[in-house]
Amino acid sequence: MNVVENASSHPAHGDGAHAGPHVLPPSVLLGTAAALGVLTVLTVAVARVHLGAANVPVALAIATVKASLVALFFMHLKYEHKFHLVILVGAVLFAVLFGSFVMFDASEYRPDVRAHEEAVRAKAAETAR
Amino acid sequence: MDATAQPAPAARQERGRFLAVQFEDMAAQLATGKLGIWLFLANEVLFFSALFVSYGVYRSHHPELFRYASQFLDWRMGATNTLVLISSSLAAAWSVRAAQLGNQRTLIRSLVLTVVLAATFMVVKYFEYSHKLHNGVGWGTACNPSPELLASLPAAVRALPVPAHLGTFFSLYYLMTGLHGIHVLVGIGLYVWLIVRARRGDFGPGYYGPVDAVALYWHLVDLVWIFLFPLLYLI
Amino acid sequence: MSTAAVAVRAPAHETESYLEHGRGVRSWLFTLDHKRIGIMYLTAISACLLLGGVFALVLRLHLWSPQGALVSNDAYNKLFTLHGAVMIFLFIIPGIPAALGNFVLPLQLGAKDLAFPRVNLLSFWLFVAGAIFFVVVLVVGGVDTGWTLYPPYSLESARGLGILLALSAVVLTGFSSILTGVNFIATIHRMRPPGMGWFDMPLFLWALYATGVIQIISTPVLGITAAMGFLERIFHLGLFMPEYGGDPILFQHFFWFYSHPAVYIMILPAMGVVSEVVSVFSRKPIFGYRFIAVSSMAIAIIGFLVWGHHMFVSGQSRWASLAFSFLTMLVSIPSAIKTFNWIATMYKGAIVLKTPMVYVLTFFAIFGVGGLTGLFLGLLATDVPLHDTYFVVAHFHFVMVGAVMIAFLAGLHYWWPKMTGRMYHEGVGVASAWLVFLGFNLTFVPQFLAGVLGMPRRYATYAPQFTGHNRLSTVGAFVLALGLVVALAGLLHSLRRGRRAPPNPWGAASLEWTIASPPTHHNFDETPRARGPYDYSGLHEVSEEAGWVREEGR
Repeated sequence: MNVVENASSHPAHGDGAHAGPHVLPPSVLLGTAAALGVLTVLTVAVARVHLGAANVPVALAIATVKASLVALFFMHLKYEHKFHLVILVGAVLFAVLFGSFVMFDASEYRPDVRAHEEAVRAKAAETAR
Repeated sequence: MDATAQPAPAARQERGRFLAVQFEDMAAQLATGKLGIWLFLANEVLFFSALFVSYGVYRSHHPELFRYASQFLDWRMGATNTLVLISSSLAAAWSVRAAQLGNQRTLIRSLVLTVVLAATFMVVKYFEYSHKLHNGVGWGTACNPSPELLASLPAAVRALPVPAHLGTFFSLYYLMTGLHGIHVLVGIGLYVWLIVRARRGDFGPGYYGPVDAVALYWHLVDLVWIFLFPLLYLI
Repeated sequence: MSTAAVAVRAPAHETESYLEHGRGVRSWLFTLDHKRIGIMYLTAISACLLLGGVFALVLRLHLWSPQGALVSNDAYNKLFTLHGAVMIFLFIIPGIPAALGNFVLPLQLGAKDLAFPRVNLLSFWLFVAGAIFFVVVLVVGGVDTGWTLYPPYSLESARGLGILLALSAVVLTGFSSILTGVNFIATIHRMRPPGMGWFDMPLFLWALYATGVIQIISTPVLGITAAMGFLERIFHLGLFMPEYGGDPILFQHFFWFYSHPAVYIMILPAMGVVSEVVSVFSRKPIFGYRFIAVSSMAIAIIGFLVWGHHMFVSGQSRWASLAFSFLTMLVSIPSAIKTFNWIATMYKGAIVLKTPMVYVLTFFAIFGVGGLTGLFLGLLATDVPLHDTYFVVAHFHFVMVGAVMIAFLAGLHYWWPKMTGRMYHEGVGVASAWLVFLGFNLTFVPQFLAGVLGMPRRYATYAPQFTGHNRLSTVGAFVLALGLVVALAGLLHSLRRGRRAPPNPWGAASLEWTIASPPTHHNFDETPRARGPYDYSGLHEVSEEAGWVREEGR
């Protein structure tokens, strides 16, 4: 967690803010937006091709690239304090960790649920008869 | 506490109108505010994560239901909104640039453009929601698609039986897009506030923290949508 | 200000204390001063402790006899639910960070306030709104689901307004907690004074930092889960309720992804308080500073990977249970590191048995037992028979009440002179500490035994062979309550009759003790230069009245 230069370098608090704000040139802003537009078209196009099980990973991969573009350029992460990147990546990592544990467990207990549902259905059918 | 350290009266007077008492200077205030908004965004990521995880669990359990249900969504609407939101994000990023450069006219114009595009997004959303609700496609147990709507599906889909618990998909759909929509509405409110302040001439190279912070929030709203679009519309 | 030292130290600057700065109710309710917000939090959570405590006493009285002595079974279920919910959401979670942390954090940083004072005030009012919702739950008939609010039971159509209000209260207090976390982390990152690097911070700040990480990462999941439950109950979304196609185990995962890390939101600040007190009252720099600091972060991170140990017997798959059981063992390592370092700090120290230190010593005993019994419950094989018995009840009370509440009392007695400018009566303080310790053990040790013998938790009645255990426990609960009343009486008495507190009554070295007690509105006239928070060189006690003063070169 020691990524941030500590405040003892006072009063210039380290992150280049004293050197004036980092202003993004129009070319970067427009380029990012254009790339996002192209990727949107691409994701729609890819979805129309049937890739079977690969459809979701491909869609997520494109979305991740788009999200990274937004984060790096629109959100200035490329130029800024690395700790802000740590925060965002950290949050996403925890979310992924959370999701993968839950999805792993859900897929593991799923057969039990299915067996139970079938038993209930069978019983209902029996009483109906 | 050093008794010899006298407060420099000149420094006190130079304190800007927008510099809070707990900060030494504007740079410290800006950097701290930025850190604060980033921490808040981390919280937002986790806030949405539970919905994404629910989505993952239900989709992996009921892939057929998700394929069927996505037929009710119009990808053209979703794609339009994606482009609208990207443009809005661009306008927001531009507003930060304008504030940093002290370009008053561009600042106000880009802020207004951000709001207009955000409102466009909500209008499209409104048409999508009302079309669904009009045809009986609510969430949970309130999901009973009307015969007309079912008849409008492609023939291959029409042949399939309506899957059980179709409403679960729409619960997730309404929850995810609804929570996102609430964030858009909040964003519109924040941008209106920024426009009022910008017209008052509050912002410039020395003080643009709020423009920057709201833009960061706005980009995150965009970022969430970037994932929602393929997951909901392009199944 | 009666102390000459203060008058000398702050010439020409403001001398009125934060308590005198601004008068009237509005100057408190809408204050942006972190100290006043801390005091308001303290008042609010004390009221919640009282409410939850009264519930506890009624429960214990009811369990005096095996058939239940006092209330109906239905009322019993509602009482233990609200006891748990009020104590957890309204007392233990905000207790140390929001009340003590709010007051102390900027002072330890030599700062004039937190980074975002308005957010701080908003956090307080969200908390109050949540607390009011919980009280309204009581008025509209209560909830009987247990504080965990597990569906399907909790979201069945028979559960009325109560559950909806309880879920809303959870969302409100959750956001209050998130905002506190954001504020604390930003403040610690950005507002440290010159001379205070990361490893020069008081350990209480490390603890609050680690707590903030958990608050930001885990609390939003609770918020959205409660919101989903709310909508599920009204609209039958089919997310958590099996009858509509939902998955109740998903709720458990979501709930514990917050509620297990929440245990560390409770204990980490408590550990921070202990680290401060044990060093000051051993008159010795803390042993293993870096280990204690880093172990706080380690607990925060590993704490995210163990939530499944609450679900060993409730439908989780066996592979997940195995993984969670293993990971649970890991989290005991940083906790043990801290404990050994505290003990090593005391070794060959000049231990002063003032009230905060007595509380901390009882903390060691209780936290040791609470932590070790946690291992039984983290191990898959032993958890299965012990699950849902009184062993679990005793274990988590040892950690949450025994450890956290006692650390809260230690911290309260430690910083009380700084908050109020008054010294409480030492004898009364020490007596309260011993009463709390005795009462606590008398209450919960019998519950361990009853649990091992198989007494299940959450029932309004029990088998007659547990009568002895339960009666001991009930007597203990009243002794514990007496201890708390004595502590409260001692503190309140000091407000009127207590001796004026000097700036540094304990001989502590961190920055909050370099300014007047109570501090002025802006705490520090100029940003101070920090030195080691556990550097006691040059500090010597002038007199009881004037407290400790640092003389360089001594």
